[in-house]
This record gives sequence, structure tokens and C-alpha cells, in this order.
Amino acid sequence: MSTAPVSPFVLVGDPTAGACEGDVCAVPEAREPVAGPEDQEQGPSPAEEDAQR
Amino acid sequence: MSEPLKVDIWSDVQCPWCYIGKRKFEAGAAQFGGEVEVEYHSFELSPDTPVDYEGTPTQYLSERKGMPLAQVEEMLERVTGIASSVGLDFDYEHVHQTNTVKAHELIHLAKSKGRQLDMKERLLKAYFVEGRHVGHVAELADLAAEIGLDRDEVVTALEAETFLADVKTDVAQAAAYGIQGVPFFVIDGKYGVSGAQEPQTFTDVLRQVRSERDQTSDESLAR
Repeated sequence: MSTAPVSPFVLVGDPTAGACEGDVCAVPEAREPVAGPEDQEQGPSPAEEDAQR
Repeated sequence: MSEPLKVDIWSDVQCPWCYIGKRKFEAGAAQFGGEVEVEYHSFELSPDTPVDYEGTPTQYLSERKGMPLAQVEEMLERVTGIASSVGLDFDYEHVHQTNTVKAHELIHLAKSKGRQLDMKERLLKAYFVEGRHVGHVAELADLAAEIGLDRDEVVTALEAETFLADVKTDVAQAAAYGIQGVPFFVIDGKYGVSGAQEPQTFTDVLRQVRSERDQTSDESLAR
């Protein structure tokens, strides 16, 4: 059994957002607010760095 | 003047979240306000689907996944409601479940003519809203002609599978990237956004990329 390759991308957003895989198009339940890219797998944004100075 | 931000989108014509996600992305990109260059890539959710599947999407999903019809109907009703919230009038009663490889070939043909975005939108609307059959060459050629492509040229290219290799290249690239579901957005070759995210998510990541580019540009100038 093969393993899916690790994504080369910095993944952002809600991991439960509606998407289709194969024949299945999952319908998400009501969700919490989505995190922006600066909140995920990233160092501080330039604005945050400025704020820390 | 700065270069537009590149967004690569893997998507299938019969993927409801791809159409809903397209609208949400467009709203997010509009809110971002900067220049964005979009390129669609092929993803076949169900490449073994026959072109002339005789049944409704409800029956198809029920058969393929072993789900009760009532459960599938409820799921499609919810998707239709979410589509409506972004201005899309899905009509699952008249959707023709089919194989989408020819539609993907047509999207690549349209790209070669600089009309990919128009073709993509036309195909999604044809499938989800208008109940058109996007698996038949004749119907696809009609849709292509509606956006101004040469109908005879489209028929010839689709029958000759001129763009099939491009479709398969996209599918292989998706697999290499570990993309298992669609829509999948790659922003500037760095950030990955999976699914029909809210517009603000797209706005935020586009702003992030713009900020990073500006910072890199400033650093280069300072040297």
C-alpha cells in the first residue's frame, strides 16, 4: 500500500472545508472562524515583527 | 509594477465544492484587490464513470458509496443550499453524471486559445445549473462555440484526444503534490488551500504572499 506524498505547500485554512475526494463530496458542519496563513506553520508576519520591536 | 500573484487551481467539472469554492475564491481575490493570475488544472474525481451513466447523481452516489438514497438526497440538498448562498442555482434533478475527461481536454484546448477561465465557468454552469451533458463531444463543442471557440476545431481536437496528455500531466502533478481532494488552490507556488474555504481565507493568504514579495523586494533594494 502506497502512502500519499507529503504536501510541499504550507497548508492554510480550515481543514474541514467542503471538498470532494473520489466520489465523496463531504458536507461540513457549521465551522469555527478560519485561521489565516499567518497563524499557521509560519513565523511572525512582518507586522507582528514590527509590533514586537 | 509588481507581477501578478499566481494561483493554480486543481478542480473537476462535476465537483460541487469546486464551483462553490470558485465563487468564494473570486470573492476573496476581489477583496484582496491586487492582480491575480489564475490557471486551472485537471483533476478527475471519478475517471471510471461511464460517459452515459443512466441515472441521477443521487442514484450514482448511493450505488457507489452504499449510502441510502435519503441520506444522499439530504447531502445534496445541503450542498444546494450552500451553493445558493454564493449565488449558484444548482439543479441536481437535471444533472447528467458523466465522465469528465473530455471536458478537461476542452479546458486545455481553451487554455491554448487564452480562454480557459471562460470555458471553465461555462462548463461548471452547464453541468450544475443547466443540466447539460458535459461528457459528449457534440455538447462540449456547442458550449465551446458559445464562448467563441471554433466548433469544428473543438470536435476535431476532442476526437483526436489532442489535449489528453495535458489532462494526464495535471492529474499526475496533483498526485505528486499529494493532492487527494478538490478544489485545491496553490498560491504563488507556496501556500496550499484545500476545499471551498471562506473568501477571507483567500484574501488573507493573497495578502500574505503580497507582503512577503514586498519584503523581499525591499531587501533587494536595500542591498
